Amino acid sequence: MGNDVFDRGTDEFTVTLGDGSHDAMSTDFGIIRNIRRITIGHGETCLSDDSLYIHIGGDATRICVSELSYNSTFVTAIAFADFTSGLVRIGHDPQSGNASVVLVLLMDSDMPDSTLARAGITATEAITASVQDLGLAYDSLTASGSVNQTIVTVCSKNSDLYLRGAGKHTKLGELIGRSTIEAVKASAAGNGRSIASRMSLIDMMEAYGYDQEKLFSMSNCLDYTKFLDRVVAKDSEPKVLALVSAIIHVNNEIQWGLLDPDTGMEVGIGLMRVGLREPVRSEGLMDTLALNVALYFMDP
Amino acid sequence: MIDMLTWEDIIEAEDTSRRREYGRLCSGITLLRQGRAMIVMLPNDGFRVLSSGFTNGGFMESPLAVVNITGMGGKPEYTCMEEGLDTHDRVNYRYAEKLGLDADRTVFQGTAASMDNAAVSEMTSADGIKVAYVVTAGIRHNGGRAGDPTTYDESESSYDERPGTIITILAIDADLSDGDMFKVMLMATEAKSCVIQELQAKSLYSKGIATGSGTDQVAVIVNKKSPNKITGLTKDSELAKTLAQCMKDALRKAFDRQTGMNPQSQWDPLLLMSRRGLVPLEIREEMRFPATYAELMAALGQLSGDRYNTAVITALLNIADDIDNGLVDEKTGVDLAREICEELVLDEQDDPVVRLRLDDADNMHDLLSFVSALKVMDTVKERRVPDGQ
Repeated sequence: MGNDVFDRGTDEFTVTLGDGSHDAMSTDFGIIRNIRRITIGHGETCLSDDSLYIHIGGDATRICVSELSYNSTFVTAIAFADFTSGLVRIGHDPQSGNASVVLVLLMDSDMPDSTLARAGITATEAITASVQDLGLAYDSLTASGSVNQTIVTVCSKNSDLYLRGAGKHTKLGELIGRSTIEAVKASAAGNGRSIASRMSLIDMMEAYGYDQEKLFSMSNCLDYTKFLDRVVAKDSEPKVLALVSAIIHVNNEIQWGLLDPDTGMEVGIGLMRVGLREPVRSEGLMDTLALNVALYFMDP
Repeated sequence: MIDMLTWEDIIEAEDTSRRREYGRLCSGITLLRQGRAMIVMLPNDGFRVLSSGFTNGGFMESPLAVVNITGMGGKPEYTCMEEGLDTHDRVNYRYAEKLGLDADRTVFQGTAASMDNAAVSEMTSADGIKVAYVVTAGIRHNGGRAGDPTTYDESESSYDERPGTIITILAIDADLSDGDMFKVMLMATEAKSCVIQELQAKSLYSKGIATGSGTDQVAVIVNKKSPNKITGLTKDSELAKTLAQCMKDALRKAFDRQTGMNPQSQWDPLLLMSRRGLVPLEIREEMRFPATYAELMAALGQLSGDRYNTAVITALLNIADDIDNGLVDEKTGVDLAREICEELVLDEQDDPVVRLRLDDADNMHDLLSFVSALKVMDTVKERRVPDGQ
């Protein structure tokens, strides 16, 4: 974007902001006037003079960039996203682990502080949208983000363009949303979490408390090696993945108060009968699903 | 030529003489109703506010008040919007003067929602910090998902007003750094998206579930004189969890009051399908129904209350979402959906033309549209006398 310079190393990623004055709003330091440099790396998060340093624990080569524009509006999202641990549905206890999301949003326009804040709101919604699109869940909760989430929004004070609107209905807001989603998903994929990593029945069920060992114990199989062979063969069957994902969604709707448990259970039973096997009932929808997934692995 | 009423005329004519207490928040903050405004009146100069609103947004030290103002409605409101955000600021300032507030020390937010539908929620965290919210909310006519396509380019035109917004004013009885205030703003935002997901409220600009509305505004009020000093706020802290839970509580109440949106009202198959363009007018075109209008309306009414059928529809919508997200290829998803429709939704279909059309549907939209029409007709027949006449 403009005259910004990106320096991508193995341990750090640095943005040296181009000519003119830049202001930023940061979740660590609030408003930062006349910022010149932002570095993401393994050092300690700190602000000194005109330089902001943001700590990440992961691989700096997995920081991804998305640059988008519309007419004279330019936005660049720089993201590090590791969703392999530390997921959270806000308001609940998070998943263990220190993985994180860092997002630096460069906007090549001038704007008031309120719009820098509003841009952070749109970017936060975009991170949540990314997490939802990837189907991320933990402890039977659909995730809304990462427990460690750092956002920095940056504007260019010398730009001829002055924008006050960064909500989702504006072009600036659209660019913020799209660039954030692209950069976050790309970085997440580099760190091992993409839609492809969800193509696993074991992975889907583990987020709801049924890991491989538990499914084995439910499978009526006494030979763990044989069970694993069956898992390898059937774990990524597309039709079954789509079916289990749909049943998990019905379970989520029960959790959210949209649907009563009894009706949800009957719908789940019907869905399993269509696309999995003649179901064996257990206590509750997820337990019934887990039991039948375990049995499905051992079905001929 | 008759002069059109302007916003100045409206404000001049309004009776704003009565100010009454609406409630209390933490930190001695009083909620007042006056005219079209909800005034969050701060008791002393020891507060700091971060607002994403247009007028006096950003950080403000020692504000007098944070106000949420309902728009005037109609053409006078439209004239404000047409003239751009500078006029929007002037309107706010003029109204603040009318309310007896010092506009330079007031933080403004605005909405189409009624202040009588504002929801107040207060909680105390496990480590003893009080938080409180006052929220107005409506999303039926402006829900959007981050990244949705837009048409409004501010660099080309001055302002674009959309009805439907979520205004969040929250107070924390603690002293937080500016960075942590920004974090709190974003935590409240994340909590907002969770509530919207739980209600499965749709985006009006794409096929997805909304994450908010384009015009959402948040104001975070902290008490700099509080003995509770918070540094390095994290999402796993007791305060953060309470902030999120309190936001969810207030927002759910506000949605219900302003627009009747709640888990019961949202469990409507036509409403849920509409985000994918599956609407009655289109479903009606799928076949030439051998039924009266009254029969069709009665069938739709019955289906609206069918909880089982609605749940199956949401499962089918999830398959469609998974196709869009790349979890499953379209053919596999459509084939699965077709089996589900035939086993769980439809009565036995022995018409060869129906068979042809079901097998021919090669995308989720076409399949669900035709199945919906078949389901309506199945329901019409079930409701008729046993001989089907």
